[in-house]
Amino acid sequence: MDMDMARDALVQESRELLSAMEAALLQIEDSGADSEAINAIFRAAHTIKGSAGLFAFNRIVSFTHIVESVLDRVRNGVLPIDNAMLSLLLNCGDYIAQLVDAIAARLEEVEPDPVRRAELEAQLNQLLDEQDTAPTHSAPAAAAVTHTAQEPTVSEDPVASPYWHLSLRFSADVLRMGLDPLSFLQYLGNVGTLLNLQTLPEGLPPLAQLDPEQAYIGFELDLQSEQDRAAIDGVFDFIRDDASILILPPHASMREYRALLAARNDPQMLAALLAQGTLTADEAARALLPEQETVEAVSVVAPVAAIEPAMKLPANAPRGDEKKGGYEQKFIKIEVSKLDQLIDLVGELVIAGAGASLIANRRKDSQFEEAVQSIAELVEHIRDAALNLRMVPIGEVFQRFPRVVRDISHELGKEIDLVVTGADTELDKSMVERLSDPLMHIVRNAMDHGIEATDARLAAGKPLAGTLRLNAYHESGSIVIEVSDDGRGLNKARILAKAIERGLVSAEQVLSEREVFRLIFEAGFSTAEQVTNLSGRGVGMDVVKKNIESLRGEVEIVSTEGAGTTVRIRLPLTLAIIDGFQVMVNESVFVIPLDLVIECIDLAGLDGHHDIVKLRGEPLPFIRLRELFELPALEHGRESLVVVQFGQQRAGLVVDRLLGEFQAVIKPLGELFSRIKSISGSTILGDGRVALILDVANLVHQAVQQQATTQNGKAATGLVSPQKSNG
Amino acid sequence: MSEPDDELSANIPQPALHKLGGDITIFRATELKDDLMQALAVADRHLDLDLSDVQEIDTAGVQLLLSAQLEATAQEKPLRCHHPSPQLVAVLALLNLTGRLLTAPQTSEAGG
Repeated sequence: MDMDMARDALVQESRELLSAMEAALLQIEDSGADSEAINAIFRAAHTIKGSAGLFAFNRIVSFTHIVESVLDRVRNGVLPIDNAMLSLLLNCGDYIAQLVDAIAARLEEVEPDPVRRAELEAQLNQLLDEQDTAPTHSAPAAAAVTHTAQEPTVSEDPVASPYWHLSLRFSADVLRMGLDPLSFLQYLGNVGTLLNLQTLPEGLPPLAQLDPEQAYIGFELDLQSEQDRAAIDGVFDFIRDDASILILPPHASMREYRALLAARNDPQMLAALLAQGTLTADEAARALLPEQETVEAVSVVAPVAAIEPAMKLPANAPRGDEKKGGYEQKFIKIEVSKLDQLIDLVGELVIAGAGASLIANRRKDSQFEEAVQSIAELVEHIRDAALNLRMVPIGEVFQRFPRVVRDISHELGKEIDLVVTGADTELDKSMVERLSDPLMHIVRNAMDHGIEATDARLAAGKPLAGTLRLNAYHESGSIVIEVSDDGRGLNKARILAKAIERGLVSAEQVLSEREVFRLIFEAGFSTAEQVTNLSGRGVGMDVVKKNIESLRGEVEIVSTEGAGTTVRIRLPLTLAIIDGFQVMVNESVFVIPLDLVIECIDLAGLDGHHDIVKLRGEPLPFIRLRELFELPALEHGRESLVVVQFGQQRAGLVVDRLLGEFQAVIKPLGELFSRIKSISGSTILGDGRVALILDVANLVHQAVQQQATTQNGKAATGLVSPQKSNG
Repeated sequence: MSEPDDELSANIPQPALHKLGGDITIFRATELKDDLMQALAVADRHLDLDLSDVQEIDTAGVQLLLSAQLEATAQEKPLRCHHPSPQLVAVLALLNLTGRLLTAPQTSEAGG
């Protein structure tokens, strides 16, 4: 059982790391090499390897090890990070993801794709071999001149020492974690011969002040070894995260030694120490001097950039009394089921609270009412805080797309820029998971069908590169997610022709632009002339619509022919608890999501017929809930009109009484009611009765559609989707 | 320095050796620190350790000895290590600490 949990944790952690790695790779592709990003990639690969090693998932360990070796050279500026390298690393990330999937599926003994693996390994090994055979210490002047910023491979101004130099410092906690630096040194003896080893006290206090379980000492040593960097580096695999390990190759450049001195606590002392063996006295003295005094200015930029990652390391690695763990404290991982349980309980609390306040009201005991009131306020805070726990930034969904856009645009031979905005807009975690596939489909569609081929774009006088935008924002109790492209837009006539051909609408039907666009979401509808392997298989947009609707959301399309298309998804913020507005029709109570209510008006004062009232000069379609739900009329009632808004559309709902605000814990309706469109759920009232929650999106559509049909005289019986037709 | 013990026995007939044996590792680090502080408190002019029975020694153990040396020097009761076990000798040789821990104090002591 515990093993399974650990395995799940490993899978989850690895997936998070892989997506961080991918993001970093894309960032490099986008804005150039950056030591932070390269380090992030390296750390991701290294951590995955380490965790997999604990479980003896050897397939992942052996593969990741090669990737890591390559990354290490990239990090040290030995291998250039160019487009080929980025693509290779992205592909390797994908393959590691496949291996992780295999672990998740308990299939870790099976290689997911041996051919692919062999291919990738061959490419990686080629990179490693190339570098190994390249002489590192002979620095021909000609080569130095032609070196680009990305290839600081050959050391300039090399030191005389023919040995590797290792500088080791450890985090204060390393001993407590069961790691013994000494044993790593002993093991290092297998890789080469240890020379000039110096044990540095690094702030070791006298016994009285000693924390006997804290690591203080550090080491500087030379290593005589025929092995390559990966082999030497590999010795420190298990301690690297808790140590600062700098490895300088034989005949390393003065620059690298400068970086080493700068990275350590006491450069003066260290230089003196190095002068006792590793370096000559002259070299040690020069290493202490600033760079420009000794090196010609020409190639300064590149190698410094290459060394930078090495210098960053010790900044991260705590030493002395610094406590690490600032990061760990910021987040804790919680099982989703525990959160759900909490939210369920909060839901029950809300219902119980409503019951209590009902009793308080009946008792007419002002003290009691006051107490209940303040409890209700607290419950409301708890509710918000609990729901907030489930809120995650939509960036979690968006972060997949840079890669998707990159790959698909390559595949299609189109140049497409992705612009992401509003990635920190939050929504319920459960929606994030279910939003991913529909969004993917919309994005693919936009790239495949929306954005034109390059020559067509030029002909249309548009910029060569198409732009795809992902945007998210909050709007009156909903989250809105937009996918826009600046492509060719939707062709209204073609869609209509296709729909008539498919028998989705009749030829004589008059449809608004919005209605025509909605046809795209009908089952079996596709206008793509040729079926590509990306989209256009005639499945998809109807599934997208279903998925979104199952989240109580809505999709709409806005498009200008020739200028682009925007697909807009609108979702409720949460699926669990809402602020509701209670209304009564006859004896039945209904709940309307409060965020969607605009205003309430006494219907008697309004001039309304044909289910349309004139409100401040504007026509407003409305629906009588009594008629919709076929409830008996009241003897004498002053009906009220509740104006609701969904998206850009407004409609009125006619009710008998307004009861006021109420926190509604949404309970799903059973299968039996799944075909009733006007209701989205139910809730339990304080007195134990059940109230139905109105599906405002659907009601607004009904009302607007009725208005349209009324205006168009008696047009044909409308679209395929079964609408309740009310007289 | 050869045969420091002979020299010692010549100067002080009965050096009060404090025995530090067994595994000198992280698992006993706190206990051993207290033990050494105690030994130092009762020591007269030197902290004389009998290390003949040292079995395993790790980084924490090495630090402990180095730190004890610092403390002993500060209290003007320099540390002297006697009869180091082969295991200890091997580790100190690896870390290049032989001079510092096994011979240095005797050298200074030989003069005074």
